[in-house]
Amino acid sequence: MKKILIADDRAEVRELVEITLRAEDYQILQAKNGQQSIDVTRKEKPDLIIMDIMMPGEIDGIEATRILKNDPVTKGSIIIMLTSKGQKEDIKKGYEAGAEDYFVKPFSPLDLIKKVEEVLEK
Amino acid sequence: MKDNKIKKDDEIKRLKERIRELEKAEAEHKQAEQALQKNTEKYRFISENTSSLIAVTTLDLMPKYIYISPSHKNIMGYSPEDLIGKKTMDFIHPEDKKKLLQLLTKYIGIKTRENIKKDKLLEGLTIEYRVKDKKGNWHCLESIINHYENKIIFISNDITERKRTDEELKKHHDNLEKLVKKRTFILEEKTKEINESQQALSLLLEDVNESRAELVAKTDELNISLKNTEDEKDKIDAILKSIGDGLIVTDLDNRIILMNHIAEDLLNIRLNEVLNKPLLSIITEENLRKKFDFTASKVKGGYQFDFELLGKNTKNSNIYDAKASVIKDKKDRAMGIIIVFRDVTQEREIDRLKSEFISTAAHELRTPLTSIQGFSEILKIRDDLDDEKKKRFLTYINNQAVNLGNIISDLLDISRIESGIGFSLKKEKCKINDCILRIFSIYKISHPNHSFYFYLPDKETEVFVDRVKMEQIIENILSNAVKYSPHGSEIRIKGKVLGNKYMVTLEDKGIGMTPEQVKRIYEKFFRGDSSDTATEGTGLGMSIVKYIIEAHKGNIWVESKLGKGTKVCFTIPISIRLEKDDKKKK
Repeated sequence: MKKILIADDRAEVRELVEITLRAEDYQILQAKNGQQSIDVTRKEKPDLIIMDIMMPGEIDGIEATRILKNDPVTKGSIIIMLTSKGQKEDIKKGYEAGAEDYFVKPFSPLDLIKKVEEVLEK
Repeated sequence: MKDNKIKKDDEIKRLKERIRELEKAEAEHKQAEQALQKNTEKYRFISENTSSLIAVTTLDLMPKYIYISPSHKNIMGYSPEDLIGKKTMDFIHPEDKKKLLQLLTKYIGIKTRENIKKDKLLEGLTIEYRVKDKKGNWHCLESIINHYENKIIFISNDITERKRTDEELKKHHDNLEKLVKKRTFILEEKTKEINESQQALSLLLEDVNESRAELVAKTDELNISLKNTEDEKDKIDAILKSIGDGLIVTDLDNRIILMNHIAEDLLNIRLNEVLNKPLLSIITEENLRKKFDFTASKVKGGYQFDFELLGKNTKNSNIYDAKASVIKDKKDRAMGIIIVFRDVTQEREIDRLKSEFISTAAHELRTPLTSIQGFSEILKIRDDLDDEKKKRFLTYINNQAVNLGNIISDLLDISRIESGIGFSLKKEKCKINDCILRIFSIYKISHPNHSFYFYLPDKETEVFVDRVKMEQIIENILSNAVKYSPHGSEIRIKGKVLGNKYMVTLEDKGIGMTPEQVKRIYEKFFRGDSSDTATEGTGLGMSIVKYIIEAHKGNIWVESKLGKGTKVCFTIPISIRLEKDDKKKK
């Protein structure tokens, strides 16, 4: 079973992603900020991380992505940026940090399932 | 017979008288002959010794020389033997022969009449004609011709020289005449020309005088115009120098010709120091030089650019929006370049905040929408959900819909405030304690992890406010207290009557704010931590709160310490005060 980490500071969003993907036989992990996402990834080495960009604290989604992608232990995890902005600048920053793809809020759970399948099959 | 005798006597008398007459005539004749003899000798003497040419010819149509004076030898080269007996006409110039013959004919006529008066001398006639000398040269002679008996006497003078002199004289005279005529003609022409010129000159002079008068008038006009123009120029200069934007004017070679005080201050130079110097020579910073390195053709149609300059009293650089345009004259020819620039630092900051706001607003709208869209779709497609989950998801959807509504209200409120429309307050008598309690009871339920304390006066206080707006204020401040406080921390609210005011104090033990953040708390779009998206808000709440309180003629202030918590106080005027005991509730 593939492991997917959802990193978002909003509990509702984490629950939404979990309820959406758990039905598809994925193991879902949660992190509520950048630091937690790094900690969980190091420990669990998820196949995919769905990373919110704007998170409170010193490490936001972009910075967490950069750290994870620069770490040989964690760089194997695929990262999809989850952004409510959908702004080119954020997407560019995410790609520069090493993210593989992005997904814009608000989203349809069915579309998220498709996206996750698509990314994991590559 | 008597008659015959008388006749005879008369005849005799007449014969005797005739004899006497004859005798007398013979005596006279003798006397005359003697006189003639004397005269002839006298004349011969004269003839032999005169320098005039004296010649005697026969009197007929073919005259021949009978006598020539010795002077002929000297003058004509002839001796008497050369001419005597020769035909006179052979020596006369062919053109003059006719003339001479005509004259001679007159004498021949006289000769005929001589029968009546034999020795009567025809009065001397003068003739000019040409005679050939012995060498064959022609001499012009002027002769006085006389006849005596059947002879012609020519008394001639050689006038060849005189004639020649005369002719030369005449020629000279003619030439002179011609010359004089020519000169006269030229003179006349010139005079005519001069007259014409003089006339033209007179007209011209009149014109000149008229023109001069016009010129004087025009000069006066011009002087007035010039003064007006100068006044206008001064005015324009003053306007240009006084406008709030920086202004630099250069000629086509980019040399500075005008600069106002703002530009002088910004570039830290004075116009009189840089007048006519190339604009680029006063700019040292390389990036700035690149921006100001333009030509008339480049700025044709307007050339807009930004540049940054270090502020005078700050360490931060200010942003300037510059526009260069070509100055054109009436004929549309480029004369120079005008550069106008103004400080847009603040505008840019506002733009930045606005764009940040739009971005934040979009995020804020998308956050509740993510829950609404996501959970509603889950509810729709999943039939394996238990009731508890279904209810929770519906609560999320409902809460986020309410939240969305609040965000939209905030956006509309601020948009009304911004556009100057503001709120229309629906004021009514309102028990302020009730307002506070109603909001708190809601928060107590929705935020069970926080501890809420009330300190409200027992005396029921009525205020004259827009109740809905008053509750919006309390809710807004309370939501901030909850948002920025950790779970379980205390949130206290106090109500107090101060004279004719009611003061509300709301205190939390949350994360607090830096003095800088406190200063900016009422700024629109300002949020303490913009990356904290878990904390909902647009950064508009406190702006709206302040606006509503001030619309009620109240005051608001904030005290805060980073890491310790925040205290928000506000007052509103009291309309009616009702005495009641203070209450303390938990």
